[in-house]
Formats: sequence, structure tokens, C-alpha cells
Amino acid sequence: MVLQSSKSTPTTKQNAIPSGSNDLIKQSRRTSSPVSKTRKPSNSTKPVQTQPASQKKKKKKPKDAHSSEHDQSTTTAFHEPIRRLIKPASQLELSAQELGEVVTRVLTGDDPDVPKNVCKFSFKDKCYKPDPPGQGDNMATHFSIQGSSMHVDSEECKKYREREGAFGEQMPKATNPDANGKVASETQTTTTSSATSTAGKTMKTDHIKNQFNYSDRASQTFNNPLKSRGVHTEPPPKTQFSEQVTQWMIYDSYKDECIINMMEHKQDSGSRNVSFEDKLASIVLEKGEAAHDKSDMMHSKDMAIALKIIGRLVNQNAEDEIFQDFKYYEDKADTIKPGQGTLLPLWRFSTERTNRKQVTSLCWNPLYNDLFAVGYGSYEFTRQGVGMVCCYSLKNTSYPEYVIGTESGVMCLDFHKHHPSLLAVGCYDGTVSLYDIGNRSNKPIYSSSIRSGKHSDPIWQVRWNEGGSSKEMNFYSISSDGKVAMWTMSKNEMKMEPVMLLKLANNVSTEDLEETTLTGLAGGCSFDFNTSRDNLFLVGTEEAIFTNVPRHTVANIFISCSADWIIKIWDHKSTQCLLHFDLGNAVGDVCWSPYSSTVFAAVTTDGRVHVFDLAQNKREPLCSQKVVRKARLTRASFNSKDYILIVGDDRGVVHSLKLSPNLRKLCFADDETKDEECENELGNADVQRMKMMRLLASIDKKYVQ
Amino acid sequence: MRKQEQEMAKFSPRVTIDEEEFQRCTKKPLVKYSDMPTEMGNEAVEVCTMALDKFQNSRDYEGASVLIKNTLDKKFGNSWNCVVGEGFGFDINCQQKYLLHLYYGKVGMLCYKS
Repeated sequence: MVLQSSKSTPTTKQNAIPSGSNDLIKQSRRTSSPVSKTRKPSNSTKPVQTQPASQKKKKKKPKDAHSSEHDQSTTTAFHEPIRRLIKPASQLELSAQELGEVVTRVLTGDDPDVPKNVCKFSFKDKCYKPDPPGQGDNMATHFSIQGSSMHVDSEECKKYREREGAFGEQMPKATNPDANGKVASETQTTTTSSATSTAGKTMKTDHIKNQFNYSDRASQTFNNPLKSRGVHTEPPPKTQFSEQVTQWMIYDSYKDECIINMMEHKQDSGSRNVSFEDKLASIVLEKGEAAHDKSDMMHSKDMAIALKIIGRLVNQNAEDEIFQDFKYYEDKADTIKPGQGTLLPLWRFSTERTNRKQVTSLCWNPLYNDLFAVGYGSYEFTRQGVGMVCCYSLKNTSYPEYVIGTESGVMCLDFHKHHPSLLAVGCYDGTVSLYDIGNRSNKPIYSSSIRSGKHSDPIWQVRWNEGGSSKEMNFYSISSDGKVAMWTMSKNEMKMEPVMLLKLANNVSTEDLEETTLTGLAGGCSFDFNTSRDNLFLVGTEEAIFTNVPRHTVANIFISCSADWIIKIWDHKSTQCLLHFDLGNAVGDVCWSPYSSTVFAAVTTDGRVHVFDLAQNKREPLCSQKVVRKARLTRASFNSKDYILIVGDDRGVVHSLKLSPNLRKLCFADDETKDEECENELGNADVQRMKMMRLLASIDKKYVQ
Repeated sequence: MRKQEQEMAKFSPRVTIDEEEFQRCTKKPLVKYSDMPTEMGNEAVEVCTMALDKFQNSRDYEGASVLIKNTLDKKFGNSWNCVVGEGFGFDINCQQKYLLHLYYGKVGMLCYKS
């Protein structure tokens, strides 16, 4: 359209601009359209190029003049470079007139570069044909945009108007604020006019939704406040457990298991009384006890042993002199005075608890030579009380090793020869009990009761029957109720078997004493077994006045003592006594010495101890020594190995006495053989027997062999 | 002294163990400690012995423990732990009624629920 307008007025323009081509070009440039631009480089270059050249020429003229001036004034090489215009040879030389002539130029819409002789192959005619120039040859599109405007008169616009009339809207105005100005304004005017014409309709169409006219609208509903709720359950109960696993622990465990298995197996083969659990429980219990013992050091067994040893050490240090005497002292007076001996008092054994009791029995332990048991009770009917058994050791003389309390006064006791911890005890109330002193408990293993049978009167002697052929252990007891009973230990009870009643009128047994030919029931006082024949034993009774009948090593000899001051020695085959001694006081006890057949000791109520050696003196005691001042002596007993005699008194004290060398001669005083030889000889028993036989022979011709 | 010896003898009876008997003992699992209910305990012991029988020849205790753990997890619920070895020590915190400590042959085993 623009080109059209410029084309329409070419002459006017050319006339209006007389100033020169330069200005014209400028003008054309200003008014140039995109189409005209394309043509410019080709046509208008020449004038543009020439113009500056001419301008330069004009400008440089003064400069040249100046430079020439400069050349003249300064002939040195330091002048400015000389500028020279070099004209192309083809340049026209124009005069001033020619230069002032106006050349008109006409711009056409044709592109001179567009080829006009284009040939194209025609497939229809099968030959090349020149392409006739088309409409679009000279057109080049530089920019295109799809517009929303439409021509007022166009069909499209008419349709739009109709629609718009129906809706009564003015939207084109709002939607096209900046489109191509001219057309937009045109449409605007039309719409405004239409708007006025359709003003009445607009009210109707207000409610119709316009898809372009919308607005965002937001609303928020009420948010419920948040709550947090947690539940925590109780965690499962936990335990702590720590252990170690090692190869040896595994081995040990399996070993224990194996032992248990084996024990169980044994039990299975025997009786199935105890279940496995019980077994396990007992084992655990044992282990627990052991652990308990370990933990309590003060009351542990090790501690007890240690304390015992320390106690003995202290005691031996305190009584060092007595211990020295016990071992080494020999009375030198014996060598000067043959036929006389002395007793050296060593220890006194007593405790506070036995002060008011009488020593009623003494018994050396057959295995441990230093251990002896003492029974405490009372001989007096009116002063009966609880009894006691104390076991003393020569190693600890200040306090008994074992103390056992009994309900009734102890009258007699005896150790078993082969089971040295078994102690049979006879009491004043007629009960017999069996204690295991190693057990350290105060309770008897067995005790006689009315059900098992018991004596009704005090028991005067108990004695184990070692030579019995039966497997079960048994002991005999004698009581003043006139009965002799045998007590047999079976598995879990002690059975009483009455052996005999000491009937005075009858001849009780052929083996019994010939003297007991009295009427009535005799109260037994003592008895003893024959050393060589088990089925023989002696009984001493009250009526026969014997109170003690210890048996001699020589089978048929025995000794008796009684309260009538007299000691008699008998042969059980004769009713006449062989020897008798009057001691001038009631004799409490008499006992043969274990090492010499002719030595015996007797204790009397005036507190004297009389020791006889018939081999040395057949009438008088070798030694008659007062041991206690006021008390009465009740019992005496020789130690089987050491030359020690212990005597008990009625104040609860036991005295130990050492025999002087004269009192322990093993051979006859006038015999040539020495004591040592006698001791060394294996046939010591034979020597002793010979000694006794020789003694008897001297008494009675009957014994001469 | 003699008494003491007797006492000692009483406390440590000399039991000679039959080697054959011992070998037979080691073939069986020996439960050292267990606070499981009887039935569950028996089952767990069975699981352990089965697993070890399977892996004992190759001495693959790791495999055995994994197997035991997985089996017990399946049977008695999750979070089981299992230790298998010839020598180890432990101090654990575990759920009550879910602890088993046993020996089997030369191997010690510990199963517990954490």
C-alpha cells in the first residue's frame, strides 16, 4: 500500500527535493518499505560510494594545502604521510555543469535480480519450457502475522455482527487492545456503533457465561485441630543371663551327666524309689551346701580343723613340762628302791560342766591311743541328774574333743574294737544307747526304749561282743534288775535279746559262777568275757559282793573287788580264791594292766591308787599313792600302749598318772631276761602267760605243770 | 588327719567313668539352662540338634546358627538370636521364657529371643 502511494507521487517528490541525489536517497530510505529495501543495495550503491569520495575530496583540500606547506617548511622525513586520490581510469571527468545536472531515477516494483528466462522441464510435453513470469516472482515475505482483525465488509464480519447482536457483547474491544492500530480502531468504531444499537439487548445477555471473563476464587474450609495419641505397651519381661562356653566346661558337664546317668542306672537295677529329679535335687543341694561352706569361712570345716590344731599347739606349749615328763621322765628312785614304785601325776581332765558329777566309767579308745571316753553320772540314788560323755585326748588336755549329753546319768560305756567311733552307753534309767562320736551330733544312732525293750534298773556294764560269729554287731549289758541282755544292731533298729536272768536259787548256766547259788533274783553288777572262749563270760552280782570282775589274759583267772575292802583273785574252776588283799578302804575299781600279766591297779574311796605287781610282791602293793585329797576314786583304766593310768573321782575329775619303771616290769624281777627282750619278742603273750603260771605255781601246787 | 582324709573321701567319691558310657553321653544334647516351657524347650532342642547334625561334618557353625535362627523365627516368632561355637562367652539381655543354653557334642549353643 505504501509503495502504491509513493509510486503515485513520483514526480512531486522529485520536484520537491532539488538538493541532490544524496538527499533523495535519504528520502527514499526514510520512506522505504520492506520491499524497497531489497532493491536498495543493488541500485543505490553507486551514488553512496561516490558521494563520500567527493566529500573527502573537498575536505582534504585544505589538508593537502597544509601538508604542502608543511613539506615546504620542513624538509625532514618526519612529515605526515601524503594522501593521494587515485581515480579509476574509467571515471568520468565531469564539468561543473554536468555535476549540477539532476538525474532522475524511478523506483519500480520489479526486482532486477529476478531471472526472467527460467526454463522448467515439463513432464507433460517432455521438454524444457520457459517459465512465464508469475505473480510471486517479485515478492519476498519478510514478516507475517495472523491477525484477529477482519474486514468490515467481509462475510466473516457480517456473521460476527449477527452473533454479536445476539449476545450484545463488546468483547472485541477488550480483547484487541494493541493489534494493528488502524484496523483495530476501525473495528472499534464499528463495535461502538453496534454497541449503541444493541444497548437494549445487553441487559438480557448479561447472564450468559463468557468463557474469557472469569476470576479465581478460593475458599478454605475449617480445619479440624490435629491430635496426637500414642500407646505404649509393656515390654516383654527380660532377664539377664551370662555364661561361658569352653571345651573343658562342656567336658565337665558331660562327665557329671555321665555320673548321674550311671548312678541312675544303678538305682534302676536296684530299686526305683528315688526319681531322677530327686537325685538331681540332692546333688544340687550338696553342691549348694559346699558352696555355702566355702562362702562362710569362719564356720567352715577347714577353719574348724585349723582352730583345732592351733588349740592343741597352744595347749602343748602351755603344758610343755608335763608333756616332757609324759615322754621322758623316769623316777630315778626306782633304781635305788627295788620293789617300790611311784606314780607321777600328769594332767587333770575336767570341765566346768562336769564339776558336780561323778566319773562312773572310763574307756580307752582301741584305735587312737590318746583318746578316752569318760562317763559322768551319779552312784547315789538321791542325786541323779543328766549324764554326760566326754571324750578327751592327751593332745588337748584342757577341753574334751567330743561332748555328748544324755538324759540320765551315764553308768558305763564301751568302744567297739573294730569300729572305734562306736560307743555303747548304759544309763542309770536302764536305757542303752549307741553313739557315733565321729558324727558330732548329740543324738544316739540307736537308743533303747520301752518298745524295743530296756532294763528297768541301772545298767552297770556294757561290753561289745567282738568275737561273735554273726555279722551283725552286738553288745551285752547287765543291770541290777537281774537281767543280762544282748543288743543286736540290725539295719535300722537295735533289738534286745534277753540272755539270762540271774536267778539266785538256780544254777543259771553251767558256765555261770558257782558262787551264785543263792535264791532270788540277783542284781548284776559287772561281767566280762573270757578272752579265749567267746561263749564264756563272768557275771558279778550284788549278792556275791563283787562289783567288778575284770578278766585276765590268762583264760581262767579273774580278779574281783568290792566295797568290803578286799580284792580277790580267782580261778573260775575253783570256788576258793587264790589270793586276796585287804586295802583298808572300799575298793572302787580294779583293773589288770594290758602289758603285764601280773600287774593290776585298784582305786579306793580314800583317794589312793594301789598298784600291784604279783611277780615282785605277792602281798603288798608296789605303790600306794594318794592322788586326790578329799574326793573318792571311782574308776581306773590302763592305757594299752603308754604306761599311763587314768583314774576318775566323784568330783568329775579324771587324773592321769605315769607309772614308774618298777611298776611296769614285764618279766620277773629275778629273771635273767631283760624287759626289752620281753618286749621285742613276738611271743610276749606267751611270756606273760608263763609268768602268771609261774606265779600260780608258787601259790598252789595244783598249777605246777 | 585320718579323719580329715575320710571326710575328703566322703565328699569326693572316686567314680570311674566308663569311656563308652561317656561317649554315649556326648551323643545326646545336654541342656545347660532353659527357662522355656517344656514342650517348646523340647522342640527348640530338636531344632538345634537337627541343625547341628546337618552342619557338624563341615563344621559350618555359621550355617547351623542361621538355620536355627530362621527355624525358630518361623516357629516361635521373630527376633531370635543364635550362637553356636566351641568356645565363647556372653552376657545377654533376653526375653523371659525364651532362653536355651545347651551343649551338644563339642559345641555349645545359645538361643534366646531379644
